[in-house]
Amino acid sequence: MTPPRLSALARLRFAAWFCGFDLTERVARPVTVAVVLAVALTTAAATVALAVPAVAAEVRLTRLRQSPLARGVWVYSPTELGDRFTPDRLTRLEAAVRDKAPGAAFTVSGFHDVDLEFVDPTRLKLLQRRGRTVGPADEVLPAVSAAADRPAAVPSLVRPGGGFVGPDGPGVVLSPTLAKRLGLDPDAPPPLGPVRIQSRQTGRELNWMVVGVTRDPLPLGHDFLLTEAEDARLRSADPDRRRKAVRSGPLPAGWPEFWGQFPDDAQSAALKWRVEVKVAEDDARPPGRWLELTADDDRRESDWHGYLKRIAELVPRTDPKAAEKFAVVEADPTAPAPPPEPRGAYPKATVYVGELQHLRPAADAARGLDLYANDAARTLVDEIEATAARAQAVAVGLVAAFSAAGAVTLLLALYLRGRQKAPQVGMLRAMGATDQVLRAVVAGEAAALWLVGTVVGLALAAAAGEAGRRYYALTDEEMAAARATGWWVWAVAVSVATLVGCVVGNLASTRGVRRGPPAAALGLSS
Amino acid sequence: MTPPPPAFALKDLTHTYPRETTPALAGVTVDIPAGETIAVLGPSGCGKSTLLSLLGLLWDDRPGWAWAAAARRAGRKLLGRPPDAAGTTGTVSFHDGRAAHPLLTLDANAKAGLRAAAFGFVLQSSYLLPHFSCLRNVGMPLALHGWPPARRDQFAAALLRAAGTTPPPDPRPWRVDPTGDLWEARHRPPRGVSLGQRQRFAALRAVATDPTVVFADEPTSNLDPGNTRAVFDLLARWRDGTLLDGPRAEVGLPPPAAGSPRTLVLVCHDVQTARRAGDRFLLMHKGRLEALFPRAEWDDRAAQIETILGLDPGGAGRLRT
Repeated sequence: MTPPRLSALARLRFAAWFCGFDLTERVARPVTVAVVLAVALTTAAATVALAVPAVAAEVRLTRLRQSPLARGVWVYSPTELGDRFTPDRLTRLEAAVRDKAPGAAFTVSGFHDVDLEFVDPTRLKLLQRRGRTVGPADEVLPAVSAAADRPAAVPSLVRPGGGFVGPDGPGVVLSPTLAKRLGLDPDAPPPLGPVRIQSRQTGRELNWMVVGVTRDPLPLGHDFLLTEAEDARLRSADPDRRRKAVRSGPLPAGWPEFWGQFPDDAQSAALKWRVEVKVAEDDARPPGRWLELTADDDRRESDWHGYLKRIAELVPRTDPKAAEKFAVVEADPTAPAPPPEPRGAYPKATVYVGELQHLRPAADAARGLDLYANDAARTLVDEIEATAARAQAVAVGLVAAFSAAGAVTLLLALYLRGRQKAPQVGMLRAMGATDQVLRAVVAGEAAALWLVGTVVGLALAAAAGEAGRRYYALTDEEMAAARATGWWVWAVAVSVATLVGCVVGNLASTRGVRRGPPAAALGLSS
Repeated sequence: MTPPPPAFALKDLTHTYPRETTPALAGVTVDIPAGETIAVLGPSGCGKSTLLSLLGLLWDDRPGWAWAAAARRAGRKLLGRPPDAAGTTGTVSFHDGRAAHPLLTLDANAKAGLRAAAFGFVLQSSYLLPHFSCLRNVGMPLALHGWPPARRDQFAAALLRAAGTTPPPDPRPWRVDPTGDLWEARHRPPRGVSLGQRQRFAALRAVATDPTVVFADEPTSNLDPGNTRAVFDLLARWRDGTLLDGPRAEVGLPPPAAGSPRTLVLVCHDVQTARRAGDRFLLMHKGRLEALFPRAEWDDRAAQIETILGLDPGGAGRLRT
């Protein structure tokens, strides 16, 4: 036969045919699997490590962009007794922001802080938590509302299926942390059920319906949201928050008949408590006399108890048991509940901006009005971007370091595989395979190993991405933002690097076998 | 009538392996005739396999990285050691029936081309590629000739059938009746067949391209007598041209040119096997050529053979007539 002259195409065809069988070669199979796994894990780990910082940052920024609550600057007076935000004052704040950020889309809304004590059902203790109200004109309201006609363009703050039914809707929306702490399943359909809260003033318990759980923690350390209407209902449902007057039990025998006859210490104490006291007498009820205590503002039940107990201590006691009866707070059960006290002006306000870059001008405008501006969102944006840059640098460094170690391992594995297959390569050379043919075979095998490893690796990376999507409950918008970060560039870069590593490594590790004497590979001795 | 040119013409061939000071071959000068079975005899380490490697173009004096060799040379010089004597000197000419090829001066591609076109190898281990079926192993050299898979499978199958066909009676004593078991085992991987079958598949692979020369290095040292005879039977049928006639015709190849000499270079420790197989014997000792003699002179050289190989008197045996 004439010497073969294989064209490049014929060499490639032979290499493809040969590799198809060679990948399953039994002797080198463990090393083959090791190479594939090394490529797969390298691809998956490097892709995930390199892509995660940018993806995480973009997801967080997207959440900020989509969350009106998080896209706001919180403003309040620097002094405790500072002026409240009346409509006029909100208008002035609005004008100041418009001056600082011309053309920016923004709204200004006031809100109240609400302190409540939740009853932890598992540990039977109270959780002091702070929330805030959501007003009818608040930009947040559509995002917390579960109404069917909610504009589709407004991203929801709450998990699907829950929220307020409207500005006067009942219930409370909890943060995921508080919901979890209260033993509620955040993923269950709303309403999630009643939770027990305790009056801050009296310690009396109330039930409250949870209508939703927010998707993310709330800013400013708030743990729940409630509409202003619900806030008013809550206050009216708490009898102790509308109590401004009580009466004692019957005056014990031997006590003074008029308040003016009570000891001076008692009268001084009443002045100190800012409580008006008089002795009342009523024939309609069981005849007797008692003290009526009246105040201009809300008082705690315990305060009333304290006042009466102190008065009893200051009066010479002839009958201790009768004094104890006197110290009981009595209220008229037939008295109608007064309407909830109007809140009036807001102690705090929020400037919601349409774009994150307008956070700083909004904060500057508030500071220009001598207000305290908490622009934590802007700080958060800066922190997210800085963290992403740092994490990216760290990831690149780590991936580079681990890739170097991985490359050495891969080269060793490829070298071992080459040594294991040395007799076969030697036999091919004895049959007349040229170095070009062997290079095509070796490169083809490396490419095939790379292909399998890369497919597995990218599948692992995709699985990790899907797991991340589920774990962090990413929305379609957030996923779109994550995809827009160009994570695939890292995947391509890592894949190209591993391809080059595999091909060059396989060529280098088999060079001795390919170009050395076939006799050595075949074990021919002298 | 002009005698045919020798298959190999060696002149003062000397070879020293790297990091060795004693040459494995020392000044070998010999003409190896074409068309015969040349049995290379000698004790272990006498240079038989080295000679086979050099003739079969399985050795390259310049392997590895050039910079590593340069560093090694510089290191020896720095340490005051004599220069590395590794290398091959002399000339080796191979005549394939049409032209002569100076083997020691060929480049790597030319060597590969010559190996593919003119040489076949049957070694001590079969070196069948473990992930291909035995049939595909037999057709592997044809793949390197660019044959399409279907054609080489067809040829290899025809070759297996030919190997299993009972040939005409042969006077040589090792003739056995082929069992046809190779055909049955053709689709199995090498690990699924016996050692003897593997070696017979390897022999068929070596002759699949109908090479000018087949080098056999201890091809039957691990085999039982039956398989030994079967391997030599296949090689003998290749040499006399009967093995490949059928397969060539089946794939439409023309018959080989009349009188194309086929040479078998056999390296063999077993003197009895060599005695039965060889037409001519090349006796080596300590890297030197002691004698090249025809089969007819075996009995006369028996004492010399026994001395060199360290055999008991009579160990070389006598020719059967």
